[in-house]
Amino acid sequence: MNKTENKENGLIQSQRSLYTEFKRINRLFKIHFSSLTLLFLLALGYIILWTYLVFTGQTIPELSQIYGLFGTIVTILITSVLSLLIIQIGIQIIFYGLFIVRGNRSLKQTKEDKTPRTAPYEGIVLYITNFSAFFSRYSKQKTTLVKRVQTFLFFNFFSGFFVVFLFTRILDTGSANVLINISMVIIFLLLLFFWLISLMTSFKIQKEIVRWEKLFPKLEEWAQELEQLSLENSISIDEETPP
Amino acid sequence: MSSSRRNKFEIWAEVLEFCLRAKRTQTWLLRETRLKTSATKETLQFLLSRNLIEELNEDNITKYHTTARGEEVLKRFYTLVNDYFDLK
Repeated sequence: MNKTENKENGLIQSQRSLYTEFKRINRLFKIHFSSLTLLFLLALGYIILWTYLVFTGQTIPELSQIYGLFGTIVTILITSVLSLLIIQIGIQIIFYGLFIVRGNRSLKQTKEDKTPRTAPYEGIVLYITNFSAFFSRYSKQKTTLVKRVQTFLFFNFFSGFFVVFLFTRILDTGSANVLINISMVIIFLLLLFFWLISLMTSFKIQKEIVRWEKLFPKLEEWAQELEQLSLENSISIDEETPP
Repeated sequence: MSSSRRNKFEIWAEVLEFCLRAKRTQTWLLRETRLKTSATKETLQFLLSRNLIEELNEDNITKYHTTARGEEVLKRFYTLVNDYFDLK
């Protein structure tokens, strides 16, 4: 294998490993996004169904049965808190969705590449710059993206836990028919499942964000290296020998 | 995305990767990088001055292509990112 081929292979190998890595990150974001969306929709469906049952008199909240008017006020408060938590999940969906759309748009593999000199992958840099733009947009001095994602992680745990916990308080639909009762139990179990998935993926995303945050200053250094490059043909940066 | 917010490494690496696959015209780069004309010209001038891209004239149309030196620099960029993902 001659030197030129080695160089090309090195470039393609780098692109290939990055492409695989970015695909993995994208998959992680997609799983997180999907679990959050399903959690959101199920919670929304659950609360709509429950409100319908209360208003049509098919069920009386357990708290109202025990504490009367005070119980009703508490139930209204619980429902309001639940709604706010659901809206909060919706905001997270928009946040992660924005990145997935950008990432998917930039990352694509060109299979029909007949020119030997060019690499078969493109969008690698675009994917990185999309991430970088995301950092610039959402990472402020006081609230860095890492902090923001940590807040989301906390809310994921906190709100998810309370959504699940508070739903157990309104799970008993009492006089509603069996079909509705079974549906609500199924929705509740699905809620629990998707909450756990979103929680696990949140932890992984947090790790990724920390890694990216450390990477960007290095890329800035790369740009500085370019500025310092001489006008001659010699390359001052280290060349990596492919295996 | 506003061009003013973009870092140098973002713009330079993008142009190098765009011109790696095929010869690109300034108009094409202008559209894909979403930069202002002046910023695109400035970027091309910089990369040309460092011999990272070459200017080619095809049918009276000026096109840009990443040089071997540009490929090396881009490879270095990829390696930097790769190194961070290897640190697990």
